Parts: sequence; structure tokens; C-alpha cells
Amino acid sequence: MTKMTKSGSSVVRTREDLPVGHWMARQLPEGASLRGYAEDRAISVLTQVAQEAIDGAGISRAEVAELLGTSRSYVSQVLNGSTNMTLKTLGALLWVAGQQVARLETEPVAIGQQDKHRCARVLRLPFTSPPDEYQDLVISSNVRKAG
Amino acid sequence: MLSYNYTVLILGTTSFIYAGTKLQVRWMRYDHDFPARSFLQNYPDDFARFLLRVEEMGNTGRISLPSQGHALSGKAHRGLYEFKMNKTRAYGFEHSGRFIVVSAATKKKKKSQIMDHDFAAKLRRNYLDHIDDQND
Repeated sequence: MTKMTKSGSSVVRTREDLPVGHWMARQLPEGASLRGYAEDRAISVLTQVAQEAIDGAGISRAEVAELLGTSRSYVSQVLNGSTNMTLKTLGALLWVAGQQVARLETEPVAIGQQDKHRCARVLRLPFTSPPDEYQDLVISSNVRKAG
Repeated sequence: MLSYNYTVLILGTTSFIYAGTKLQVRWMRYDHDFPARSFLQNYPDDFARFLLRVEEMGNTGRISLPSQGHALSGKAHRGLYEFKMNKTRAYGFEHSGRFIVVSAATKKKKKSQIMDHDFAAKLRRNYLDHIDDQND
């Protein structure tokens, strides 16, 4: 059951908060937190924003290092995602590319538009599907009226 | 009231995880188990991180940040991909529009990691041999 905040909006923090039929809910163990997913997604998305800005400006990593007064290996570590960069560093990387942060958009954890559609489709099914591992192995289903 | 009878026939050796726009990601069955899934279930935090990589691999066919995953190099391990989480690593490979996750292990130092890479390569070979046998 999805948790509700004081303002009445729903929050997704654990496997149990995901909609019924969500692909991640079918995989994760009971009670699993989605914190790691959200953390790594932030690193992935924000690093890509910086990388794309730098690539778009046609600047090499060596030039970025020189402009920021740091080493090339540090710049590589940051852009590979292996160093946890600060917001200041993100701002500096964007500055190198002549860019700035305009707006940061958010959405419920693990539920993009595509997943919303998929979950809705699963919820509409009038029966329980066979276990995941047999989904592609079902070669026929016989429907009959009981009793 | 409706009831349903399913006729189930085990044809494959994998189990569905995620259908991305580029690849379908699946667990590989081995020795009556899904070794990667069973292992990762002991690390729920890493399991959620793993699913982020699954999603990216399914939708783009690659992991954009090398710190989160990359293709393995070297002749023995060519074709294998490593997903890197906080405490664990998971291994898989692409085949015919599918990305098959074969095994997982704890994070180790480089030298000790080779055994995990070898094991994943062995499972990959088994899978490909099995597929070839079916096609013969």
C-alpha cells in the first residue's frame, strides 16, 4: 500500500509502495528500499547532464581540468561517476561549458510514464498471471466456466 | 466464476526481468536456480541499484557511467558485461535482442575478481552451446 504524506500525496520509498504489477515490485525482495535506486539515478542523470554540456561545447577533459585548476584524472573520475561530485562541482562543470542549471525535474521513484502505462495494463487483467519465470513458456491457456 | 488452466511447458532457460525498448533483460536459470537473483536477494539495497542498471541496459543497450557498469575486456571475458553496485557485481551478456544476467558476486579486489569473471564466462558458454544445440 502506497504511503501518504500529511498533505495527502503518495510517496514511493520501498517495494511495497510500488503499484501492483510494477516490474520492480515483482523482482525486489520484501521490504526492499528504493533509496539506492534513487541515489544512483541522481548520479547517472546529473553526470550525464554535465557530460552532454561539455561534449556539446566541444571541450576536452584536459581543457576542463585546466579551466577548473584540477587534474585530468579527477575530471575523469567525476564524469565516470566514480567520485561523488558536489553541487558546486556540477555548477563548475556546467560553467566550463558555458551553461547553468535551469530546472531540475522530479517524478515518483521508479515510475516513469512508460511504467505508469504498464502498471495500468497489468491492473486491468481480470485474472492472476502465471509466475514470472513461466510468462514466456505458456503455450496455451484454457478458459472454462467453473461449476 | 471463471477459472483458468495453464498448460506450461518449459522451453527456455531464462526468466523475464524487464522489457526495455532495446533489449529484453532476463535471468539465466542454472542448476534449478537463478543464481544471480538468489544472490542479490541477500543484498536488497544493491538489488534496487541493480534494477536501475537493468532498466538502462534494457532501454539503451549500454550503461552510460563506467562506475555503474561496463563491458569486460580481455579475450576470456569478451562479450560479458559487469554491473557495478555498492557491495556486489552482476554479470551478463547480450544475445539475440536479449540481455541475460548470469551470475552475481560480492565486490572484490581485481585479482580475486577473475574467478567471478571466469564463472560468468562459463555460464555464458553453457547458454550459447545450449542454444546452438537447439538450433542444430
